[in-house]
Amino acid sequence: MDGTYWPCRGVAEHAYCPRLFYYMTVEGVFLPSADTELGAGVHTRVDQPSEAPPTLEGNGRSGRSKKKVEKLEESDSDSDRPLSVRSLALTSDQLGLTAKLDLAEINGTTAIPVEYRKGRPKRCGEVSEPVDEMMEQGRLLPGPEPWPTDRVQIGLQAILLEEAGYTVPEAYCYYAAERLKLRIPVDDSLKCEALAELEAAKRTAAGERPPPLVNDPKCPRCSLQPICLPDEINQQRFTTLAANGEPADEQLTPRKLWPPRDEGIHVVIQKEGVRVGVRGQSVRITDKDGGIVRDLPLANVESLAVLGGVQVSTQALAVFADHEVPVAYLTAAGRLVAMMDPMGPTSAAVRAAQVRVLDRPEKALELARAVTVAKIANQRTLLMRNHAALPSRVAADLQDSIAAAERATTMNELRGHEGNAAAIYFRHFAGMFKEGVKEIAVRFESSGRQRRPPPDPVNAVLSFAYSMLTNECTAAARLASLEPALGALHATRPGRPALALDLMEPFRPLIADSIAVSAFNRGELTEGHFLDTAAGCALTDAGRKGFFSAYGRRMDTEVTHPVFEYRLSYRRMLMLHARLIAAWLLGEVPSLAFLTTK
Amino acid sequence: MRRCYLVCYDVRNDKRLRRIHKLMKAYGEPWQYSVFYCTLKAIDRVRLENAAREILNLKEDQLLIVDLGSNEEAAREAATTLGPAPPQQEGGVVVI
Repeated sequence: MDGTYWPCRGVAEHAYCPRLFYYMTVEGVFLPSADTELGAGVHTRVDQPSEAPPTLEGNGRSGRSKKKVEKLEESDSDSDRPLSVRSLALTSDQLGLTAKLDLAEINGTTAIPVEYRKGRPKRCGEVSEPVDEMMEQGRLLPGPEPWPTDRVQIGLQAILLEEAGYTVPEAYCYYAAERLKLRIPVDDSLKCEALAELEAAKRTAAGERPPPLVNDPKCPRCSLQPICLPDEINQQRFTTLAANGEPADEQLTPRKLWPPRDEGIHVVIQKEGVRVGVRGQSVRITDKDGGIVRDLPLANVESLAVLGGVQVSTQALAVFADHEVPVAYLTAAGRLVAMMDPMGPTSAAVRAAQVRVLDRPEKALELARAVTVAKIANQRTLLMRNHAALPSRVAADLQDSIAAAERATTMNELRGHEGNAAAIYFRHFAGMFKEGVKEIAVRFESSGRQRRPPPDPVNAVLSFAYSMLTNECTAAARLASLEPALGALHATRPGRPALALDLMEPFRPLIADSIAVSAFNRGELTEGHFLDTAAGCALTDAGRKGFFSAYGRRMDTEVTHPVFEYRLSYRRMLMLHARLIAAWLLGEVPSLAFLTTK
Repeated sequence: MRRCYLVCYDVRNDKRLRRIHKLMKAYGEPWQYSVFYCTLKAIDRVRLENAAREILNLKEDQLLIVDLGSNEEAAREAATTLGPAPPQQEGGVVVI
């Protein structure tokens, strides 16, 4: 890795967690959290760059800054106050190291780096207060000390300063939460520690992504947790190890590390001629005549789906991109046409692995098999749960399909079993509708599952739901740095998000089919919500409203993961599985298991 | 988990006042001219504070954040209004 400069910050992160370092510094993946934003807040106040320090070699930089510095020095000349330099950038070609110092106090040839931290220093043990006044003193407890990561960072900064020609006798670390400034003597042990970490970081960067920490207390507050999935990946690794008879004493049920649900609103705009714009940072939706339909705070908007002839201004798109709000463009019939997603941090390593792995027929078959098996299992569950009088053979037949799919040795064979199961499933699909909706059920029964055009209301709702789900799965695949167009079970075709369709398979019965069944059974959708046209049966505006409220409710439904034993909404379950596919492609988990419900 | 907040401000300068009003509209619904109701993720609460700190003159102006808890219904019910009711905003999926 010649010509690469490692940032000091990154190397310090290596001391915290090598995997975090790999994600952020090598792959460039980052996910902000409240803690990181708080840190950013502390640093915007610190990071106002000040004038450049006088260079020791005497060759000043631009004339302007030199003048200013001289002026500063003049005013300071009679006092001993050191010159404070903020945001001092330093680079070492020899070490391949670069750093931006928060603050350096420079006095002649002596420099003292000061590092700002938003949090608290490390404390071993509890602070005990004297219980009664007779006791002369509380127990002697070790005082606050800097975290190892901060020591590494300070050490590297000191080395860089020394290389620039300064003498660095000491350094400071400022902890904003306690307004505490800790002195760190700069000695050989500090510098050795820092250099060792730099070497270790370089070694890590040259290799593969390190495995996650095992049951580490640092994970719950780590902002990268939803990407890194430490417990989920360890659980899968150790389970397989144990199954192969190898010693794996770590029997782990993942802690519930997923950040609590904090979803805002998902906006669907389907009215012709409506415009979406931004005013400052609030989303303003106006109708044809310019009247305000709705003002939404941007912080609450989670995603935007635009159907048909709706205008979204360029400015609005830029703001959405900036806030990582995905925008999906669909036709009025709900077919996903395009998706705007921000050029966020995507990991090239994941995509490279996807191309490599899915190119191998046996690996592609493994993924295809996993999604097919889960899909048939879920179809079977849905039928068994909702069908009023399911012929006893059906459940057994579907069970046979699952077993056959598990044994399939070629992709075509697998697709055959999948089609077979689908045929059985849709033959009995109409039986899941209740008495009151017989007419609709009969229409579906006579046509069966047909896509283009959907001939009856049930088909129309199914097609619409699959389109919306495709859009969610595409977004989830991109979030996991996967290439949506390159799949396993679904062959690559122009414009087809094959991997998103693969990811969607197990969720079709759980989400889309279940919405269709329950929306009709509850009377949320009726014959009146549909229009029969030459281009097939279509939802009316009112019908679409009913559909979206059922859809939103379903996506927010929480289900318990059968293996990890925690609850997530379906929407987050999609993200979890997309990331597990990515982990499988990288070889971090040995096998794939998709969500099945009982 | 999103939490609900009532955010109010006193700003002594027209320019800053307009800027803070614009900022607040990104984070919540205006209940009154300088009183906003916000439902925020932890990260957005920090962002709001960071952005407001940039705009306000902390020697003169004040921004007040009242935590109303994580129960959105209870937070809304905690408010009694005389006169026109504050606008109602729905959660989940908004279809327009």
